[in-house]
Amino acid sequence: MWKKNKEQSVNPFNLKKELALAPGYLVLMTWVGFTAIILIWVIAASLSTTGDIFRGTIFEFSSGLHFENYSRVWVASNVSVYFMNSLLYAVVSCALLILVCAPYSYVLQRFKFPGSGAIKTMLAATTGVPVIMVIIPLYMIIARAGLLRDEISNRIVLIALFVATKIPYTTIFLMAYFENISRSYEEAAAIDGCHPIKAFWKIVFPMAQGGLITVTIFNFVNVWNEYFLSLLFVNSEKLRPVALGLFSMINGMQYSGDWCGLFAAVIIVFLPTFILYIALSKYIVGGLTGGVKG
Amino acid sequence: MKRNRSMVVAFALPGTLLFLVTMVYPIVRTVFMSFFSIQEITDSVDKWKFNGIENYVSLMKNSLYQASWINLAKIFLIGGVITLGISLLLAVILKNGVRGRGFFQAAIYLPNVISAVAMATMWIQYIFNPSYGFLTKFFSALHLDSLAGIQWLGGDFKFWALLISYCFGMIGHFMLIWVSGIERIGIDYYEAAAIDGANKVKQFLYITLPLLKGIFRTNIIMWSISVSGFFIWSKLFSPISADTSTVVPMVYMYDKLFGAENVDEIRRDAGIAAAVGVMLCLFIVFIFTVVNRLIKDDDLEF
Amino acid sequence: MKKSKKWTSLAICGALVTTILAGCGGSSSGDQAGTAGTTPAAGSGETTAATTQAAGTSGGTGEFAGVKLVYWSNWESTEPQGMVITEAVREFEAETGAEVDLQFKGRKGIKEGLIPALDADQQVDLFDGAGNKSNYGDRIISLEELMKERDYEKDTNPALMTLNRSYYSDGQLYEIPYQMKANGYLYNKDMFDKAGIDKAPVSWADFVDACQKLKDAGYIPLTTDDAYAMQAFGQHLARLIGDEEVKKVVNEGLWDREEVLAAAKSFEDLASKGYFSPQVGANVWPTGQNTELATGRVAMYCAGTYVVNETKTITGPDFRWGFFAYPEVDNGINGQEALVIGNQSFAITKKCANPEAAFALIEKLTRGSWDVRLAQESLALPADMNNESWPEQLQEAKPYMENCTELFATSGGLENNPDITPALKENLMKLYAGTCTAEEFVSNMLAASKN
Repeated sequence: MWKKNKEQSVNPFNLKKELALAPGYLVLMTWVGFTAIILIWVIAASLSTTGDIFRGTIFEFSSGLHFENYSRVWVASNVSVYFMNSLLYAVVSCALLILVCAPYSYVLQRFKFPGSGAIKTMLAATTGVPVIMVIIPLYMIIARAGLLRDEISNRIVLIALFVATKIPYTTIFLMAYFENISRSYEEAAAIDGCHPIKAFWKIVFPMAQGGLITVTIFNFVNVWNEYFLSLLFVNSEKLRPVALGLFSMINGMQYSGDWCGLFAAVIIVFLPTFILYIALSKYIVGGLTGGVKG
Repeated sequence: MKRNRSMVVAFALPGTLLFLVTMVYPIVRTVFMSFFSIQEITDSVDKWKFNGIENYVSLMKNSLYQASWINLAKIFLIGGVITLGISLLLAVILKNGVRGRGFFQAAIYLPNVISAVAMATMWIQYIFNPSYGFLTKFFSALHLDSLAGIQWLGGDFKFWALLISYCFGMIGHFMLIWVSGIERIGIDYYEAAAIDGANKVKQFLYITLPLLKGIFRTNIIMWSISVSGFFIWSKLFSPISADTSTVVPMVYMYDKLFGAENVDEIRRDAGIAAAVGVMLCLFIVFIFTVVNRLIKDDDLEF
Repeated sequence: MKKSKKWTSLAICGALVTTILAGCGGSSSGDQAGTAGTTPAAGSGETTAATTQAAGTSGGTGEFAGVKLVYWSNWESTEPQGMVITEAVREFEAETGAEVDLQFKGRKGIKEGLIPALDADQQVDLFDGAGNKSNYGDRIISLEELMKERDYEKDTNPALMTLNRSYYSDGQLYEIPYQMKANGYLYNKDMFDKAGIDKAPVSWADFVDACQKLKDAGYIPLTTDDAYAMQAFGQHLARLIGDEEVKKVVNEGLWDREEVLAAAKSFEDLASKGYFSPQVGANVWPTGQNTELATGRVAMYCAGTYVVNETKTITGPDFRWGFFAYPEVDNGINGQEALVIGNQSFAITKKCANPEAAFALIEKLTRGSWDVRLAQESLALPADMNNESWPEQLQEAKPYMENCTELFATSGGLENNPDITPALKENLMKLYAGTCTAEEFVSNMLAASKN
C-alpha cells in the first residue's frame, strides 16, 4: 500500500495504480464534498438574509445576492487598521515563537540536564490551566506598572504575551519532530569540528521544517483568532486586532439578530488566514520531498 | 560535552525564563487560590478566606461537576479514537500517492480556520435542523425514514451531535500533524529499506508506524490539551445556561468565575474556579505521564 | 550534578517567591491608589452647575467643560443601542463641554474585563450592562444622593426601582435602569385573529382554549428553545407557590412537593394534546425563536420582550406582535399582576471624579427624546414613564408593566441554582416534547438533586 514520496512525484498516469487508490479517492472525495457543502452554506449565508437562513431557503437567493452584508461589516468596523495590527502581532509572535521554542524543545528532547524533566512536565501541565487564570493575574501586574498607557509598550506587551502563552504548546509540539531526527547528523557534524549550536541551526533545524511550518500555521491561526487576551490588554482603537474587532461584533450580532452580517464578518476574518494557509501548506507538501525532487 | 553544555544553557534559558515569568506566577497563584474562597479573581489577598480542601470536596460531590467530567472523558476517549483514527487514515491516504494532494489537504484543514461561532451555527441551523436540515433531507432522500426522523439536538442525541461536529473540525488539525510527521520520515529510510528488499506493507509496518510513535504520543497529548480547553462548542450547543449533556469542566469553571446567566443572586467564586483549573491541569499531567510511560522515546536510537 | 540540581530548584523557588511577593505588594499599593482616587473631586461649583442643568437650562453652556469621562458600554457600535448612544454622547459633549471617551466593550468585555480593569486602576467612570451589579461591591457608588439632587426617581416605574434596590443589602440604588423587558408569552397576532381568539388569555383555561383554537385553525400553538425552557415552567410554579418557594424547591431539591407535580401535569397535558411543535425537544437557541416563531410557523413563545428585537430582521416590520403575562392558574396565589421584569442598567464607578457629569449623561440617555430613540430603535421598553411612544410591537406589554405590583425573580426563581439548572433544562425539554411524563420528570429531578 505504501508508496514512496519520490515515486509518486515522478510516476506518470498509471491506470492500475490509480484503481488501487480508488477507495482512498472515495474517502477523500466524500470528506471534501461534505466540507464543500458546509463552506458553501456559510458563504451563501453571508450573502443571503437572516430570514432566509432561518427559513431554510438560503440557496434560493429569492431577493438576490446581498453583498451589502459585507460592506456593512466593513464600514462599521475599522477593518483595515485591524488587519494590519493582527498581521503585525501574528507574524512577529510566530517568528519569535520559532526562534525561542525550536532550540528550547531541541535541548529538552536531546539532553538530560538538571530540571529538564520537571520543565517538561511543567510545560505540559501549564497547557491545561485555563488561559483566563493565567491572563488576569498578569494583567493586574502589567496594567498597574503602567505598561498599557503608551502605544509602543502596549504593542510590545501584547506580542510578548502572545509568545509567552504559546511557548508550552509549541515546545511540546516540536519535541516529537526532533525526536525523529537521527542523532547521527549532529555526531557527524561534531566529528567535523562543528559547534553544536551551529550544527543545530545548519543541520537539524532545516530538517524539522515540516513540524515548524505546521506549528506556525497553528500559532498563526491561534494568534489571529485570539480574543480574550486582547480584550483585556487593548484599550485603544488603534491597537485592536481583527479578532477583537470582529468577534465582539459577531457576539453583538447574535443579539441584534443580524445573522447574515455575522457570517459576512466570519468570512472577512477567515479569508486572510485561509490565504496564508494555502501559501504555507505548499511548504508542508513540498517539505523534504521538494529537496529530493529537484 | 562542554560545548554541548553551553548550547543547553543558551537554548534553554530564554524559553525557561519567559515561561517562568509569565506562566508560573499565575499558575502558582491559581493553585493557592484553589484553597480559598474568593469572590473576584482580582481580589487582593486580604479578602481571601481560607477554605482548606473544601473547594475540592464540594466539587467532587457536585453532580453537575461530575457530569462535566464524564462528558470530558467521553470526548477524550471516544472523540480521541474517532479524531486520531480518521485523521491518520486521511493522512495515510494523502501520502499514498493520490493526485491533488495539496488541494485535499487544504480542503480538509479548512474548517479549522473558520471561527467556531460560525461553524457551530452552521451545524445547528443547517446540518442538524429537524425540518430542513442536511441530515434530514439526506436520509429521507435515501428513504431511511427512521434516520431522517432523528432529532439530533434533542436530549439523547445532543452529546453525539456535539461530538461529531467538534471532531469534524479537529480531524483536519490532527491530519496536518500526521502528514508533517510522515513527511519527516526521511526518504533515506525508504531508500535503505528498498535496498534491503522490504515491500510496501513491511515499509509501513516497520518504518512508518514506529517512526510515527513520537507523533502519536504528541497527538495524544495535543488531543488532551484541546479537550481540556473544550469550551466554546459546548457554549454554542447550549447557549445561556449549561446543559447536562454538553457541560464540560471549563463551562463549569466559567460560570463560577463570572457568574451563571439568569441567576438573581450572583454567586461568583474564583476559588472554586481555580480548583477546577488545577484539576484540569492535573488531568493533562496525568495523560502526559501515562503516555510518556507507555510510549518511550529512547528506542529511536539508530 | 546533584549539587547543581539542588541549586537550580532553589533558584526557581526563590524566583517564585519573589514574583508572588511582588504580585501581592503590587495589589495592596494598587488598592491604596484606588482609595485615594475615590475622594470626590467635585467642588461646590460643579454641583451648582449640575443643579442648574437639571433645572432645565438648555445646553451649550459648557457646565462640564474640561471634564473627562470614560464610558464603557456593553453594546457594540454596530448594534442599534450602540448607534443611538454614540449620537447621544456626541450631543452631550457639544452641550456640556465634557469630553467622553466612549468604548464599546461588548457584553463579554463588561462581564469579564471590567472588574479586572477597575482593580488594575484603569480609569472607567461609568458603564452599562445587564441589571444587578451587586457583584461589583464597593467598586460602584450609591446614586441616591445624585438622584435626589436631580429629582430623577419620579419618572421611573417604581417596580423597577424596587427591583434595582433589592439587589443591595443596604437597600440603596446603585444602578439606573433602562432598556426594560417583561417576560411572558409573545404571540403572533395574525394567527390569533385567524383562529378567532379575540382576547389575550388571562386564566389557564383561556390559555388551553387558545391553544386548542390555534390547533384547530391549523397552527402549531407553542414552541420554546432550550435556553428559555425554564421560563414557562418557572412562572407556572411561581403562580402556584410564589417565587421564594420556587427558589427553595431548586435549592433544597424539594421536587416531591405536590405543586411541582401539578405544574408538570399541566405541561404533560399540553404536550399530550399536541400543542407543542414536534421539533421542540431539539430546539437549541435561536432555532425555535428564529425558525419557528419569527417565520410564522408557531404562534406562541414564552420568553422576554427582547425577542422582538432579536428577530426583527426575520419578521420584517409588518409582523403583528402580541404579548400577555403568564396566565393565572387554578389554586394559584398570585395573578397577572406578578411579572418577571428586568432591565439593563448604568452605574458609576468609585473612580469617577465627576459623578455629577456622569449622572447627567445617564439622565440624558434615559429621559426624554434619547430614551424614545433607544426604545424605538432597539425595540425595547422605554425607561421614562412619561414616554408614551412605546414601540408599536410592544404596545400590549404596556398595561402589564403598568399594573405590575409583584416582581418575580428570573423564570419565577427556577433558575436560582445554577448547579441544578442543566438537569432541569434537559428534563423540561423532554416534558415539553412529550418524551417524559410528569411523574418521570419529578423523579428525574429528585435524582439529579441528590448529592
